[in-house]
Formats: sequence, C-alpha cells, structure tokens
Amino acid sequence: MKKLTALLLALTLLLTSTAFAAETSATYSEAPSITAAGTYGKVEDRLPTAEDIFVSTQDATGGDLAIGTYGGTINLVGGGGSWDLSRPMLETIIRRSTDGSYYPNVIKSYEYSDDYTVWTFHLREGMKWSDGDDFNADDITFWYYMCHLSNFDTKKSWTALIDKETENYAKLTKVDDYTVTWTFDTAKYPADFIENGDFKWCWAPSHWLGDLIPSSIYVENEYWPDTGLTDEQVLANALAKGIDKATIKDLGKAAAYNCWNIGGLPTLNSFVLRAGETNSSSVCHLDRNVYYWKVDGAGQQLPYCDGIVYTKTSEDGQDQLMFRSGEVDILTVNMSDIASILSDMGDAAYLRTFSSTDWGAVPVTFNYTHKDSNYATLFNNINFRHAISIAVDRTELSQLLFDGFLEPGQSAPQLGNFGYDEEWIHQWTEYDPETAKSLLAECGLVMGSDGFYDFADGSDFLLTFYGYLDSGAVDQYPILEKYYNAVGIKTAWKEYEMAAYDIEIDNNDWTAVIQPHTNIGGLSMSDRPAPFVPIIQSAEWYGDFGTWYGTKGANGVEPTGDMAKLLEIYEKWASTPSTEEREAYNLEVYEIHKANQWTIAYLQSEGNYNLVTSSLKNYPEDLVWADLYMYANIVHYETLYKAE
Amino acid sequence: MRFFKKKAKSQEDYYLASQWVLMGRKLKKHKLARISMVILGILYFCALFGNFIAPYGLDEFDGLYRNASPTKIHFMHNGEFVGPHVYKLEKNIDKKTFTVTYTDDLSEYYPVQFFVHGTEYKFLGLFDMDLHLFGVGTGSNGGTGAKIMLFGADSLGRDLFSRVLYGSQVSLTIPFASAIISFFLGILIGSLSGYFGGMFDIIVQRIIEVIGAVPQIPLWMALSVAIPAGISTIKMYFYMTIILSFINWTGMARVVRGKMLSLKNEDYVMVARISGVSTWGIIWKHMVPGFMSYLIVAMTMSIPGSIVGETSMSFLGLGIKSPATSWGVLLQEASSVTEIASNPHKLIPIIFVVVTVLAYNFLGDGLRDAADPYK
Amino acid sequence: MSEKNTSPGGGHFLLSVKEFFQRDLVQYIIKRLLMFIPTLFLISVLIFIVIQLPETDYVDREISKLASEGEYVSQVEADALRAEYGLDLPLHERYIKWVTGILWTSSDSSYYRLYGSHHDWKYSFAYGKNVLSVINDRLPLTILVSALILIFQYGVSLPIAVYASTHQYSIGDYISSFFGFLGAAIPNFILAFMLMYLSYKWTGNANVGLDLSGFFPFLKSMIIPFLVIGTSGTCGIIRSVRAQMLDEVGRQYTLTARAKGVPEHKIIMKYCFRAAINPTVSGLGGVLSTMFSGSTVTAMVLMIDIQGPELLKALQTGDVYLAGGIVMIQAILVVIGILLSDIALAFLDPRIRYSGGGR
Repeated sequence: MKKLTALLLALTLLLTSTAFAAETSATYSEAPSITAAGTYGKVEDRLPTAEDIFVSTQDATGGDLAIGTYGGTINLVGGGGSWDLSRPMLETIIRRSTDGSYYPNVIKSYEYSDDYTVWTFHLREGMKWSDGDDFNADDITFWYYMCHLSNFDTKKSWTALIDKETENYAKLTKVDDYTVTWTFDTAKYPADFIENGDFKWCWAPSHWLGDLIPSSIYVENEYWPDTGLTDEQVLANALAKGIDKATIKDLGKAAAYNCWNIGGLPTLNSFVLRAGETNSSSVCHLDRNVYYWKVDGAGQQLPYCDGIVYTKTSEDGQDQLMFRSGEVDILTVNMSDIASILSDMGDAAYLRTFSSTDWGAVPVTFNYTHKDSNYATLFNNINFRHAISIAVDRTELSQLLFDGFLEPGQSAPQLGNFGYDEEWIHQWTEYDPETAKSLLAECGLVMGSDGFYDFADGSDFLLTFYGYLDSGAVDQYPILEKYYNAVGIKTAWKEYEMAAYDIEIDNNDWTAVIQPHTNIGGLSMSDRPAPFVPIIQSAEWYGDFGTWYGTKGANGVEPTGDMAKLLEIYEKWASTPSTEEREAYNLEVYEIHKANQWTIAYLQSEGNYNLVTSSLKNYPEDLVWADLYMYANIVHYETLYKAE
Repeated sequence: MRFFKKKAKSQEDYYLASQWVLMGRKLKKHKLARISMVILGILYFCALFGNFIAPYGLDEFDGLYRNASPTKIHFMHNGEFVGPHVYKLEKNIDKKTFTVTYTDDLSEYYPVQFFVHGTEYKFLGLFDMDLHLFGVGTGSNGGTGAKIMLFGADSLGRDLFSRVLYGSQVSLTIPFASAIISFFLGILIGSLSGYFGGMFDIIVQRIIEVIGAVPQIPLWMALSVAIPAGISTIKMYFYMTIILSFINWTGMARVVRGKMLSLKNEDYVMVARISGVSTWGIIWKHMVPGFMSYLIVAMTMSIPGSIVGETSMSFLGLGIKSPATSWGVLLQEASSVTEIASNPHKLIPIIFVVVTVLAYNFLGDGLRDAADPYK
Repeated sequence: MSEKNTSPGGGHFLLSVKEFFQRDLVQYIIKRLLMFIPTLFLISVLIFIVIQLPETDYVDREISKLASEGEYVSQVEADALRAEYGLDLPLHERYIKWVTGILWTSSDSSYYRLYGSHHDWKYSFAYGKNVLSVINDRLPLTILVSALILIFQYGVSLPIAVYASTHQYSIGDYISSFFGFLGAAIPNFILAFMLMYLSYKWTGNANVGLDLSGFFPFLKSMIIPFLVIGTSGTCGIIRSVRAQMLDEVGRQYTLTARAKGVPEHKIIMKYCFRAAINPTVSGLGGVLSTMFSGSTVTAMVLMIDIQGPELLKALQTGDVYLAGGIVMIQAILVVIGILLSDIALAFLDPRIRYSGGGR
C-alpha cells in the first residue's frame, strides 16, 4: 500500500506541470516541535494529497523566498479589533500579488461556464481543518445554507452571491466531496464574484458548528436538516464550547464571520488562536496549524514559526517601547517615530515601506450638495477648487507637518500606482495667492469690509472645516487656516468624535472637511469602486449624490454633469467581464476626476511604515498597503522565519 | 500655650490683633510659604503680561524650527565679542531614515534684543500692541528668519516658551477660579445644610454622596460632552471652570457642614439667636468667620489637585483642545515615547506644573500652621 | 458630652445610658441603611444619564469603526442592530429595564438558566457577552494589583509620616514633604512614560505591562507601577497622617504621658500614632472602589489590563451597559465603604450619632 501511494505520488509529481513541485523531493518534513509532541502522526498524512499541496516559493511581489528554519515566535502588538488577528493568518479563496494578479489559494482551482452563470470550485483532496477533521464540500454547503443564507454570520447582504439582475441568491450544488458549483440566473462576472473583496471565504467547520445553529433561523435546503435547537440551547452549547455570547446574533458573527477571534474554533489558517482565548484577551497566542496545507520549496511544512503572540497595548508608545526592548518583532509606526526608534536600535531593526494607495496627503473636500445654494454653487465652480489648491504653499506645509519629507502633490494616483499621470499629480500645485484671489472673485465672491470674501448677495461666507478626532486634521487646520485667511477666506473649525462626525456627514450638515473619513483613492476601482464613483452614501466628496444612487433615487440629490457621467461609466464597468475594458473604463473615471478635482490634496501621500526586527527574515520589500490585500496579510506570515 | 516662649515684644499688640493680622504674621515667619508666595506671584505676573513677555504668538508656525531644541545664545561670533546673539538654523533631512538634524548657519548672527516689534496682540486685553519684551533683530547681513526659542519648539515650529506663558494664563487661572466658585458654593450649601439640617440636609448629603460616588472619569467625560464642538477659546475656558467647580464644591460643603454642626450649639450662637440676629446674620457674621481661615487653607490645598486634574483631562482628550493652549495640552503633546526620546525639551512644562503645585502646597501648609491658634 | 455621662446618678443610670447608646447606634445604622436606598437610586439615575449623554450610540460608533476598516453597514442593518441592542427605546424605558434586570431576574428567564444568577447586568455590545463575565475576567488581576499598590502606599507613607511629624521642620521632614508633593505634582501619565523610557535606556528593557510568568518577574514588572501610582498616593497619606500626628503630639495626654516618664517611642507609637491613623483608616471608604477599578490613566500608559482602562474604553465606544455596570458597582462600593466607615466611627464616637441625621 505504501509503495503504491509512493508510486502514485511520483507519478502525479511527474504529471503536474508546476516547475517548482517537480524539483522538490517527494518527502515532506515538519517542525521539530510537532515531532516532539509525538501525537500528530506523519506529516504526509496531515498534508493534502501530494498534487494538491500548495507550494510557496514566491512572495507577493514575485520575489523568491529563502528556505527558512523552524522555531521561534513572532511577537506583535494589537489584536483587539475584529480583524486584527486575521491579518497575519487568514487564508482566503484567492490570493493576490502586488501586480494585481491573483491565484486560487484555499481552493485548488476554479472555472466558470462560458456565459458566466455556473462557477465551479475544486477543493484540495486530503486537506484538513486545524483539528484534523477533513475539509470537504460539506463544509461549503454547511457554510452557505446554515451560516450564510440563514444570516447566522450577519452578512447575508454580501453581493457576491446575489444575482445582479434577479436579486436571487446563487444555488450551491455539491458535485462530489471535492467539487461544488455556484449557479446564478444570469451572468456573474469575476469582478463581482471571485474578485469581490467581501467574498473571502465560503466554508465553515460543519463538524464543530453543527450544534450551534438554532432552529429559529433555519433555511430549507437539501443538504442540512433543521437542528431543532432553541436559541437558548444553542447559547448553552456555545458556552460549553467556551464561547460566552449573549445573543444568537453575537454568536453567529463571532463563530461564522470573525471566526478567527474564537480560540479553538477549527480553521484552515496558518495559525490558530489558542483554545480559551478570544481577541479581547490581553495576550493572544496563535499557535501553528499542524494540519496546514502549504509547504516551502524544500518540502518543509509551513509555517516556519511556532506561533504568533499578540500583546494588547492601550496607548501609543507602549508598542514602541516594547519594540525597542525586543519584545515585539514587527511594528507599524508613523513616519515621525521612525528616526527615534532606529537611532535607539541601530542594526537591530530594519524599515519596510509599504507604498500607499491613497490619493495624496492633507486632503480637503467640500459639500457639493450643500443645503445652502450659495455654498453649493460656489463649491461646484471649478475656479473655487483651483483657488483653494493654489492658495497653500505646499513646500512650507510639508516642512511644517512632515519636515519636508513629503513632496508637493495633488489628489491623484501616486507614483507606481495604476493610472499614475505626472501632469495630474502636479496639477494646480504652484503656490500663487494672487491668482487664487482673482479666481475667487471670478466665482462671484465680493470682498467685504472685514477683508474677507462675502457671497454676492451680501451674506457671510464662512468656510467651516469639519474633522474627526485622531485623523490628524486638528494639526493641519491651523496651518491651512493661515493660508486661506491670507487669500480672504474666513474659516472655522469643528472637531468631532468619529461617529458624531459621520452623522454630520450622513445628515448633509456640513460644509468642508479636512481628512475625509472615506477619501477618494485606492488601488483601483476593482479594489472598491465606492471611493471613486458616487454609488453609496459613504465618501464625503460626493455626499448626497451617492445616497441618491444607493437608495435608487429615494433619497439624496440626483447627480448631473460629470458626476452623472461617473455613474454611467461605472455601470458599464460593472457589466463587463473583460479586464481590458474594465481598465479602460477605470481610466475614463480617472480622467473625469482629473478634470474636476473634487478633492484637493496638498502633498504626495505618506507610505505605511513597518519596522522589523533584524532576526526576522523573508519580509518582502516594496509591498502595498491596501484593503484589497488585507493590509499586513500580504506579508505572508507563514513564510517568515527567525535566524540570527 | 507656647507664646510665652516666643518673643513677647508687645504683648498687648498681640492680644488685640485680629485673627487675620495674626495669621499674616505667622505666615511671614514660615519661610517656605513666603518663598512660595513669591514664586506664585511671579508666575501670575508672567501670566498676566504673558502676551508681552512671550516673543511669539500662538499661531506663528515655522517649518524650519519644527521640534528644534532650545536655541543656544552665543556671545562670540568668529572669535569676536558681539553681544548676545543667536544663529539661524539649517535643517538637514535624511530621506532614508527619516532623520532630521539641525546645524547653526554661521554665516551671519542675529542679536538678541529687548523691546522688539513682533506680532500684534491686545495688551491686557485692552489695546493693540506689537512690542515684545525680547526677540531677535535682523541678521548682521540683513537676513531674517532666525528665532530665539528659550525652551525649543513644538511639532509645528512654535516657540515653547511662548506657549508655556499662554498656557499659564489658562492653567493658573482655571483651577483658581473654579476653587473660588466651589469655595462660595461650598460655603453656601454646606452652611445651609449644616445649620438647618432636616430634609434639606438629607437631600444635600445625598447629592454630595452621589457626586462623590460616581468615578471621576465618567463624570469628566459626561461633562465634557456638554462642551460643544468648535467653540471659542474663551467659552471652552468657561466650561472647564464650571466642570472643575462642579466636581470640587462637594468637599468644601462637607467641611463647612461639619463645622456648622459643631458650632451651632455653641453658647455664642445661642446668644446671637436669642438676641434676635437673623439666621443669615448668624451664619455669615458669627459662624463662618470662625472657621474662615480653615476654609481658605482647604481652598488653597484644592488648587494643586485641580491643576494636576486639568493635565489628566487633557491627556484623555477631554480638556482644553488645541489650538488653545494649557499646560495640560503641552504635557499631552510631550507624552509619547518619541518625544521623550528625541525631544526631551518638550518636558519643560512639567517644571512649571511641579513648581506651581509645590508652591501651592507649601503655601497651604504655611496657611494652616498660621491659622492654627495653638501654635 | 463626656461630662454629662459621668454626672452623678450611680451605676443604674450609667447602665441605662449604655443601653440608650446602644439603641441609638442601632437606630443610626438603620437610618443610614435606609438612606442607602435613595442614594443608590439617585446614583443609578445619574450614571444612566451620564453614560448615555453622548449624542452617538454604540451602533454609530461601530459603523464608523467598520468604515475605517473598509466595511460598510447599511441603514437597514444599523436599525436592526439598534433594535437588537434595545437602543431604539426611549431613555426612561431603557433605564427601567436596566434597573429591574439588575434587581431581580426571575428563575424562568433564559439569563438565569444560562448563568444561574438573578441579577442581569445586561451585556456588553463590544464583547457580545454579559457584563459580569467581562468584569470577572479582569477582577482578580485588578484586585491583586490594587491591593499590592495599597500595601506599598501605606507601607511607605506611614513610617515617613511618623518620622516627619516627630522631626518637624527638620531636613528629613522637608525632603519627605518635597518628594511627597513631587509625586503628586508630576502627572502620572508622563511620569510613567519617562520611567519606562529610562528603564529601557538603563536596562535595555522598558518593562511595559505585567509579567505574569512567575512571582519575581511579576514583582519586577510592578516596580514602575509602584513608583508611579504609589508615589502619587503616598503624598496624601503622608500629609494627613503627619498633620494628625502633629496635633496629637501637642495634646495634653501626650504631655502627661511624657511627664509620667513613658518612653518617647511608646508615646509616639502607642498613643499618638493610633489616634492619628484613626481618620486615615476611617477614610478607607474609597478603598473598596479603588480595589475594584484601579488607576485608569496610569494603567493605560503602563498597559496593565485592569478594570479602569476597560471602563474608559467602554465609555468611549458607547458600550453603555458595560460602562454602566462597572460604574454602578464602583459607586455601590464607595457607598458601602462610606457606610462601613460611618458605622465604625459612630461606634467609636457617640457624638457622630447625633449629628449624622440632622436635627
């Protein structure tokens, strides 16, 4: 029998065309700590069948990974937020590289029918949950029918599984143990399905969650019967499993959505939260998944490190002290803290700069749907935006806020990003207060006796800037105020706590903002279209125009002109499967932005900075910090290893 | 009992002197209290004339001087004595490690001068003036842009020395004003409660208990919610005073009530009551003066607590907010590891908080010793 | 008073006086206990209003937070959440539900069946579990840390106070008052940052947070908290005990004892110190509550996971029942503490019984 499997293994290795797999030997090795434990059996039995093993040889930028050594822990800070723990270990349906391409990750492969109505997922045979139970198609049907369609995971509103035309949910069919199909009424293009940022997973451990689904939310389906459990029984069952939740909603969100936050819950991730802990524990231990399904180029089962330890810090600065002390291995820092830490630590740490997808730094934007028509008309006048942009001395601003480290720039795709345009990034960046004044006069403003502009009808023009706590706007306002006052614009400042700020925005009770909560910009429209086109009520720069589209015209203000054009292009963009066409539409959207400059930014954007202990290897350079890449997830923590 | 030991230089004088005169005399003998009074006097004087003493205004940002350490004052330029002068800074940045270093630009010197013209301000809030106590003149080669920053600069290149002065206008007066408000509130409510007793007393006691029982932070947070967003500095100042007095009056009221209870059955109060003195007359003329000295001590002692309390509130983001400045705001800006590691000059405001708190405490000590009739 | 008690009348009269006082004491205690009820009622109302004052509720804040993480919540979902949490009810209805739940939750409620408790403190939105479980998670550490710090404070400050009072106006007195004041004058949060950074500079380790791996590592990691929270608290104790001691040292009985030839250290320790510490001990009313919450700002900076910072976070995120629960328990402990110390004082000093309840 053994011989036979070895033969089969060799055969499949020959057959698979993956170059790296062919080079590796057919033997696999495991971490010494697993061998020492002695309770897990052979590594081959824990890995998927040989041809279905995922072999990691490259990082997200396409760079080659060094073959590492086992042992050590990666110490991190944070872990309290709902997503924090997922960053270093979450395994998703597909994985993306920084060049925008993606490849199947948890699933072995996928394909779709010519008309895009049927999508097939193939799973990895022999793959196991972190508790050793088999991972197969039942876990997909369980997730879909018991967790998702029942809204147990509270995320039934995801659009990835809803047909765009008929608004019906997809039909999931189990073909065999390792194959499932999703069937839609009409075409479901990749952009809204496999590439949809929400659709990160489609599985749940049926063997573990089986007694946690109450009868009250059951949805009729052919695969899973009603559990017949009352809500109270379910909560008691959960309590017995160490999940202390007060309502079904809380339980569902914790167990079927942010499931990495519950210790002991079986996962497919590289690291697993230790039983008995949750994300609110003051220290979180993530231990290696001994059933992890990835190996390195030399056949060593990943991850290299034995675990990740998250320590919660409550104040800025504790983390920096811990990093200095060597108690933390990776630290996200502000630019202003880098020099101080590096000068204290010398060679013991190195800096990794993630490029930003933000469209510039120190952004300001205005309420184009302002309730007072005086303001709305003024803001919609492009000369006003032009004046606001050239009224500020960007070099001095950079000196004041960033010691001159950031270059003057405009709200536009930054160097190295999709859609970068050298002319655009320098549009209206020349400091020229005199021209600004005349532009303001052209907008119909008249200079009042107090030295500030008034509206043509004599009413006061007061540009009130809103900002929220901790956005940094509070430091930026007094400087901008000086420049604006100098060209005759009277300004005021209001700072809110973030939620109160959002309410002001949602209620359309605002005039202008510094550091919008949802700024224009991002990787591209395929990351998330909402920051670029007015489709939901979220971004400040389109305000109530977005509400109009989001509520199908029930509320908000109907967009006109270029704003309406954005929606037109967006709809075309959303209904084509062709990548080239989508890129072309995306660039068309950018052209409109360039012509309108609804948001003004004064500097080129700041990167995202991580300091890393020198002993930690395989940390790639030139990564990108973006929601689409799940931020730190792109580092691929399972491939990091420690060596002196 | 002990005054026989003391110099009996004019016994008669001593016996006839009022309580306040006696207190004043004893206070004079208390060396630390005397020093403290002088220090507090200087601090309040500087706060009063802060706009004049401060060389720069609150909104004089300067990108060149961002986080600069205290300006060195030189006397010799190129080996030649030219009087006190400073050099303009030159900023060098390393884009790889994000390091900023400063060097002196020795090409020309800028003399330190007294009574220079600078930004305009309202002198004592009355009339416009642009004269400042000191500052730097134009460079020896006619250059401009050099600054004198005795305590260095903050993260927007503002002069920390000036900000400490502006901050003292808030930090020295809010606790003082709120102490006075709670002093009168405490006397009023405490004396009524102690004198009349009954239902009124019970209610007041409950209120004191309730305010005392609710932890301070939620109380602060709730009260600071009452401060609307985007209000003027003066309004913010007003709100802060009210918040602090609202929390502080209970302690005073408790003391007054206790004293009232112990005094109201004294014979002299009885006599006053029988001879038809009005209730208010009894309270204000006969009872309160009996322990007024004690109350003043208590008031003095409550001020340092409020000063430190203001800094804690700022730390939690509940107090005065930038661009307005208080010592609490300055300390909050300094309270990060990077600031302590790279810009230790930003900790200078601590010295002012400590000195003020010490001075008030020693003054309070002296007042108490002085008010003690047995010493 | 004391003169009246010893006025002539014989043993029988004395006995009845004793009886009278004892009855009086009982009455006083009953009276105080009755007062307890309106006080708690007022506190609960005040707390409920205080924690609900911010114009944004938990749902608003959660939505904003998720928006920062790139997740959007629709208005419909938000309304559903609000209904789920009971945040759509008017304030007074929420208050009544909250208080009645805490007072008594019947045996046939699912809360009782799940947790076996008749007091439903509602649940924390952020944790999704009931408030008492959240509080219990941090209680042992909070009590441990607070108790150690209290012991440290009294252990350090009492000897200093005695020394300072017996050597009034000496160099030692000045130095101790100076450091006492200094501890109170430097804001705790900044002192904590400075000590941590100095610790890193000198030892290479910043000693952030608590090391629970063993007894000695734990003590070592407590050094900075001791210094920070300890020094700020010692000031008050040193000052009040010193002042009381000075009062006592000047009293008649001290002079008498001295005249009788009682050794000086015995006078100090046996008579003066005992009398001087009395008000301090009776002021321990707040200790219970301190033990429960710990010092918030300092614990935040030092990264000690105790109740205080938890409360602050709950207040900031609008997790109203958690915040309300913590504050309410703390307030109850303060009131109990005051009650206990009042009763103790009333027991010791008969005069208080008269003055306590008014005329």
